[in-house]
Amino acid sequence: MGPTLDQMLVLSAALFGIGMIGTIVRRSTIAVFMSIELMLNAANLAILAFGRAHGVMEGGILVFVVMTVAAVEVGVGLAILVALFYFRDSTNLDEIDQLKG
Amino acid sequence: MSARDFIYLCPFLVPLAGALAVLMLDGVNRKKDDYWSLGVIAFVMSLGTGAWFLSYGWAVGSPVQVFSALRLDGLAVFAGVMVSFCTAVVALLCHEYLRRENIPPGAFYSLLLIAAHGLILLAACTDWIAFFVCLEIASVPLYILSGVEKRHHASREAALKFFLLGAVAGALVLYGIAFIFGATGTTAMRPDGPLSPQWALSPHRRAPALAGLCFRWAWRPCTSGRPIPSRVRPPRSSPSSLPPARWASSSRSCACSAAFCPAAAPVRRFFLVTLLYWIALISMIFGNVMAVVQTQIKRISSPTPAASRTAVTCVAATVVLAGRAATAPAPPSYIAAYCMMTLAAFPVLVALGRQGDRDMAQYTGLFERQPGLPSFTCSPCFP
Repeated sequence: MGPTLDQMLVLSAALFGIGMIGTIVRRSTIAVFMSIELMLNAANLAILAFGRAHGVMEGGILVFVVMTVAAVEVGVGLAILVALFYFRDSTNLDEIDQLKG
Repeated sequence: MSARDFIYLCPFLVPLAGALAVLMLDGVNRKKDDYWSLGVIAFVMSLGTGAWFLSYGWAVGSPVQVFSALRLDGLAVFAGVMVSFCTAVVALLCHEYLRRENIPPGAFYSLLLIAAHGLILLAACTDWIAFFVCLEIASVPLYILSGVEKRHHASREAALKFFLLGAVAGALVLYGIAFIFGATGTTAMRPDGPLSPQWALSPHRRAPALAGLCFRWAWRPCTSGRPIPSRVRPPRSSPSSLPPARWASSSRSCACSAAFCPAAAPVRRFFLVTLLYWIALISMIFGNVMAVVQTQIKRISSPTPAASRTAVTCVAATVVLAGRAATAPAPPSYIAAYCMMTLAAFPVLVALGRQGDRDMAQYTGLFERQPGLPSFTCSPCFP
């Protein structure tokens, strides 16, 4: 007897909320990246829960695709961050303000 | 899966083939600043894609399902032609810019073509998995293209900010897709089957599906109301006849249709229509007031589109919920006119931007000074 659909959805919503709050509140770019990953994984958890409840494989396939795409996205994001860090010597989002205005 | 599917898939793959050709030529070419030949390849491939889609628009009358995830219909043809020709124009015009900024042409043209490939596919998706993948195929090259000017710090900063906002938006979209998948039991965008009473009676479960349907309504207005033959399933047994433990398997029906079905409670529908009406009204007023008080072009360009999209999405949902089918074409028409006007406004802003105009006050009397430019912006509205 595993967790029920409601339990998994509550956990997913909690993770998604933590990720959203971290994205808004945290100033370190790395922490924001981690928060975004948390949001994606929360969505994955919801998809898996629904897929299990429906008894279909499409949820698992979607999660697999999402994980792959998220890995690619994070790779690109980290490359951009490294390029920025090379010149700025900081990952604080408050200091990245040249486009502000 | 048949040969016919592969034939219809070909124009979608031409930009990708062009990107690979550009990368291969860039790899074997000894002249690292060979902007011209790579630009010609990108231009020809984009133009060929547009022409291919244009020929499909003339030759193929009814929508065609390509495999189970793509649909070649009016919107797909329009997006294919539009994106391809815009990419061709960019490939033609950016030659001097790349040379001046010392941007590697192989990376630039290949990323441009891959982004075009993703955008063309995005307009044809009929499956949420394909939708998400195409969204990322289009987004990731654009993240890199934003930061392609290595010498400028603003470019790198723009890339990082675009990436962060894009990733958060992607996560939100995925969470919405998760709930639509939960409501429908399938990743197809147009599920079918009987209405599940559990979903019909739970507004908190219906809301994400409604948002998803509004999103789809705004993006794919040309395909609404047409069934997809490959997705038709035999009728299912009544959900009430199933045991409670299997409620989920019976809820493959569409929560979207639960929101719009005639059996939905009239009172609840009335409140939903009223809520959407007020959201549309407030967002429109807020966006326009925010736009009016701005003094710079780049600031005025952000609140107005956001407010317009929210308002149009809510109006679309309101029209459908109210059951006024005769007014249903209005929101897509507005979206089309809005997109055309935005596209027409960009050349005008670029033309004026080259003269150093940035502040709104400098646009005063523009019609008297250069009557052609404002007329060009408004011209798409006349048809």
